[in-house]
Amino acid sequence: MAANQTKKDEQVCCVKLQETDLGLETMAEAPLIKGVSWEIGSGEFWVVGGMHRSGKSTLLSTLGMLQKPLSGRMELFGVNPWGADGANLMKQRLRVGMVFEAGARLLHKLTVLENIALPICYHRDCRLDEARERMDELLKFAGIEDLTNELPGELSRTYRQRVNLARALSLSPEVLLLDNPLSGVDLSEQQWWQDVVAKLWQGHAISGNKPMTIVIVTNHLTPWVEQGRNFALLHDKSWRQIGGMAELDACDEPWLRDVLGERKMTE
Amino acid sequence: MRFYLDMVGRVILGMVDTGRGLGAFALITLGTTISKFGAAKAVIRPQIRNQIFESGLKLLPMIAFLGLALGFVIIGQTVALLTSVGAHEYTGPVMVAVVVRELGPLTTALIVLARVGTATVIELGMSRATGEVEALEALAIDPIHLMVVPRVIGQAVSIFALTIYLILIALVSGYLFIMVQNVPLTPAAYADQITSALTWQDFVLVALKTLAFGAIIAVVTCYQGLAQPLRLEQVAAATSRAVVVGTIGCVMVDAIFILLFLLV
Repeated sequence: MAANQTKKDEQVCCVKLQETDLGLETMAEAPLIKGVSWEIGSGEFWVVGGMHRSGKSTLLSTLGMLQKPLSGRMELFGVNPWGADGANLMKQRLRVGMVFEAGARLLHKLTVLENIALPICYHRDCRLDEARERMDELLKFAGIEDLTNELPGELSRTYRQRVNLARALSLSPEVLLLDNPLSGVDLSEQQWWQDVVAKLWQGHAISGNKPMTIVIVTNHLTPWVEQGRNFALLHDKSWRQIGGMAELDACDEPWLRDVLGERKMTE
Repeated sequence: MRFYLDMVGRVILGMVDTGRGLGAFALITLGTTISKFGAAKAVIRPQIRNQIFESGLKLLPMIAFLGLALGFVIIGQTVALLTSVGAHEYTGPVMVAVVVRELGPLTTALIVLARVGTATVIELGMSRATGEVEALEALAIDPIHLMVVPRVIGQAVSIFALTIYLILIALVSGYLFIMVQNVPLTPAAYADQITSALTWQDFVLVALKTLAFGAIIAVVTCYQGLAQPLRLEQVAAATSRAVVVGTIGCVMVDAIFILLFLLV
């Protein structure tokens, strides 16, 4: 335990939330999640489980700096991204990649290649052909080399999801946020995602061989339950940080069965 | 009675709200244009070129047709009227006053609003409704810089260029009508009438007006599509709102320019 604490202290804290209430700014009086206090260390793997409408996407949007916490304090890499200097927000966003649910939010008028290249070309001010080498790496990593000229509307949900991943990785972020990546994909595709996320966490050439910090929100925890990962739950507007796999197994919340599915029931 | 007062109040408040939102959006766009001038050239410049193609080059056949029609109609009416009072030497000045100063810029602006402005609201409204704008923000890409600034620049340049084409075509087609009507006016005399009627203020007026129209149309349509959270079913309503607000904006700016022109 003490060793774990020392290891944690040595880690750089990527994200820190202190007593934050999360939700829509237009409905500030009715937060979706209350009292989130959470520290995500560099290189950690977090899986947050919750049923539909429990605020998972809101939590992820807050971590991705698309939504401001309604109250409390938030820090990313030791900096308040919502501080007075707007440049901070942009700088911090470059360090976080987001994979949206169901392969959504790709730019519908751009091809697969252009979607993935856009962040690189925009931030490095280069033409598409100048970013070609990085593009090829990303396309190969996501297994979508043959789809470069397709429009997102012509792709199945499975491939749109992969394009989303390639786009999120294009700027080599340090933190990768995934919103329900296994939702609506078949079993072989689920395996692909589990393998790919595990590789990224351990450090892969696509992210400069550096282990990435991973945060997944899901309504089905079981595929992600493995040693070395951290778990938290969202239920009834509240946040509950569980801990590792042992703590998850020991957790006796009756509604945990809903997000664990067959795993908890077979025990 | 109270119901009608409430309704009028809501309409007025709605107009004030739209005006305030548009003003803020225009200032944000101006700020972004200045602060990010020259940034991400490799992405922004092709976007501007694409806008000039979509809102300029693609509309050229339609503008040419309208220019022909405008020349025929105005000259047709003017010649009939002026010949009846023996004053056909005023044909040129009338063309300058009507086509160059007024109808040319305004007609072009309204055509761009109808053809390109509506498409802009639909496109940006869909992007907003499907979360593409948030995706850009997540990638640290400023949506105003990527989606609005190229439209403002592209549409301002396009309306300026299209207006020049429309005016030239209308002036030429006007003379064709004069020839058909056997009015005793030589091409040289017609050209002389027009050049004598033109002043330096006309050139400045056309340039400023068309650039302002382009900026207004782009800001209004982008504001309606982008600046507020939209659901897919709200895109159609946002499009008609954009046409109404854009038309009112262009007519108001036109009126201001007329006043300024008369004062100078």
